[in-house]
Amino acid sequence: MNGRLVAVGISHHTAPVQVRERLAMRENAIPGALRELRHAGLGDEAVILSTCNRVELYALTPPEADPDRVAAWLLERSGMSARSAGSRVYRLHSQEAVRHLFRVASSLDSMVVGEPQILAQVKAAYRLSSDHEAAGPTLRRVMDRALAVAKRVRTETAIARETVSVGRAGVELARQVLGELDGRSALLIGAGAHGKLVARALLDYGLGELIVANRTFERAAELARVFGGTAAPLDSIGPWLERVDVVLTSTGAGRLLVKRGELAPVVRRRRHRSLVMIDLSVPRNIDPDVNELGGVYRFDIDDLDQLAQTGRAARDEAAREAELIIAEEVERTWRLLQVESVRSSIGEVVRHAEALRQAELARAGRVLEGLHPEQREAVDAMTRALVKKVLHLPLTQVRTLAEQGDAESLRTVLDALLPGDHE
Amino acid sequence: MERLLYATAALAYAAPLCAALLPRLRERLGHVGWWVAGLGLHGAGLVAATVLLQRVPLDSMTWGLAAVSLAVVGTGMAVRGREQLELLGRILLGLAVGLLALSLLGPEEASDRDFKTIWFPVHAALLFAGFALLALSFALSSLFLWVRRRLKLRRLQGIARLPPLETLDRYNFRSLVAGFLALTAGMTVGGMWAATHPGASLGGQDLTVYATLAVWLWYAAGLHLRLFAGWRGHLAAVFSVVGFSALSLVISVAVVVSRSWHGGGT
Repeated sequence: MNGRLVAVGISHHTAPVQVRERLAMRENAIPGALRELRHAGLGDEAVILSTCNRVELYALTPPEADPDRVAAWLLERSGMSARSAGSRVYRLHSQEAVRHLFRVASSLDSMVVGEPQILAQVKAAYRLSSDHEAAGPTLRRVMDRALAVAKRVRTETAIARETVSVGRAGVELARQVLGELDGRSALLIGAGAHGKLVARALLDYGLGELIVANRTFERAAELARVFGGTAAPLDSIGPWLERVDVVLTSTGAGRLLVKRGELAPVVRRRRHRSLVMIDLSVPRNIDPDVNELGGVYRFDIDDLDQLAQTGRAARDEAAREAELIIAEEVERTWRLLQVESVRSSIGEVVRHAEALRQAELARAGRVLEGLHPEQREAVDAMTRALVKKVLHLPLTQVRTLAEQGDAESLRTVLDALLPGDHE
Repeated sequence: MERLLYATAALAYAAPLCAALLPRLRERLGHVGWWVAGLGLHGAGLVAATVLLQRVPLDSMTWGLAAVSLAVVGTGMAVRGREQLELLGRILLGLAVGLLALSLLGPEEASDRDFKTIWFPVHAALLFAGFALLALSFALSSLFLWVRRRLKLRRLQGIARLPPLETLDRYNFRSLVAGFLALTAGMTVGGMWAATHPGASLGGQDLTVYATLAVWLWYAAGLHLRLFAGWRGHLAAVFSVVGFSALSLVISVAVVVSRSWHGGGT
């Protein structure tokens, strides 16, 4: 591993949605960010994970690069200063970075612990990075392990079974205002994963009608067909806002789609009927001030977290089991990374020894020239075997130390075997 | 004797309510047995008053308020065990304690007037029934406003244990309509009784009658706005809370100051 593995970012644990939405990156902005990071000399390998609940950067930085610089880069590209938001950014490296990624992928760090969406989001982030050649051998190894660990956690623990899903949390919010959902209607704006989950859950709980609006009408029509609803163009949602009981927004628009000033006359025409608005987008799509309008109840992704706390005891038990799996897997992965990182050093040692052997053979060239070709071959084979046998013990020791993660002893042995610096 | 029973019942109701505020006492006093004991004492007081007078003393403010309080406690007991309605049960029990305490401030004896006609007991029974239903509406409205506030402030932890806003609003409307109809019928019957009964007081000095009429108009306006202007939810709840508070004030004045509803011993 020629560098230091770091994880830098913010999540719903450290920052409210107002901060997260400023740092959030749309999918089409991520390749550019990966290039910027490389040009800044902060990471040849990198994966950026940007979801509603977190913005994280996993990178293999040069050994001398300070994780604080990576954190500052992340903040500055969003126009934020390290002074104002630096305390919200976590900086992890080496095993802790691996552990964090494994916990994220396994949904242990999620707002709704055990929810399945995060695994798909990690996969998508990894794929995006690979497509733009930003995921090198080290990150590929770590990401592949993260996905495998997440699957193991879901299979071997009850974490996925004890989950209050995002969809269910959305249903609970709607029902807390509206009561039973039979005969109610909802407007889904956008085709984001969370929005679709909540819409599906609402339908499962008896929602009578679903209207789907999207920037591209074809996509809205496709979703409406899947849900058995009605498609509507995004620029003509006004009449629907007047009619429906629930509004869900889940878009990557990055701006407010429903503003207080525009909603106020709609609310007056609704004649005091309750309207539940659930904004699942980051950055948000619904003006937070609409909550001040009578009869309007606006919630966002952070509010789902509060509801997701129910059934926590059972999930905590499953999470404890998952943590044990993750600890074991972090250990195993870290050993693997260490072994892989010394593999190049071992090659160097072997090459160095071979060079020494060749030099010694050259020095004895005049003597060897007098030998019969078969004898010369025997000498060559003998010296080769000698070098191999001499190196066998120290190289076995190097591998063992790497597997044990004993970096200090490893460096001492490699120092003794090789001239110059090595990681 | 019935006053002693009412007072003991009020204490029994109040004990677990007070304990709910003090975690250390909750374990010891939180048991439903306190409320059952209170209900027994409460009912015994009403029976004792009826037996002593050898008739149902509907013309007695003390007896009437104690009966309303019993109805409120009964409703509270019925709902407190149900999912999402525990808090409503507590509000109703708190309200019942207040009504029972108010009944203890009323005059000692029931009216000694000769109310042989059927109209007066019907008038009083309808008014007390209306009062009980409006008390229920008040409790539902209070809970509505509290749940709404939590939703608006997005304090959602444990919110699923509370009833949905629309459900509270629907039951609030039903109890409001039923209470208003009972109040209207009671006032109509009272007017008819006063018109036919010699000596009944409905004179210009009878302020409680006018105050009750004002409260009735308030409720009538609230229902009108609800039915024809779409007022519901928050506004309807505020209307109900204000209306019942005003009605309670009128009754308190009648009980404590006038010592009767009509200022003449009844």
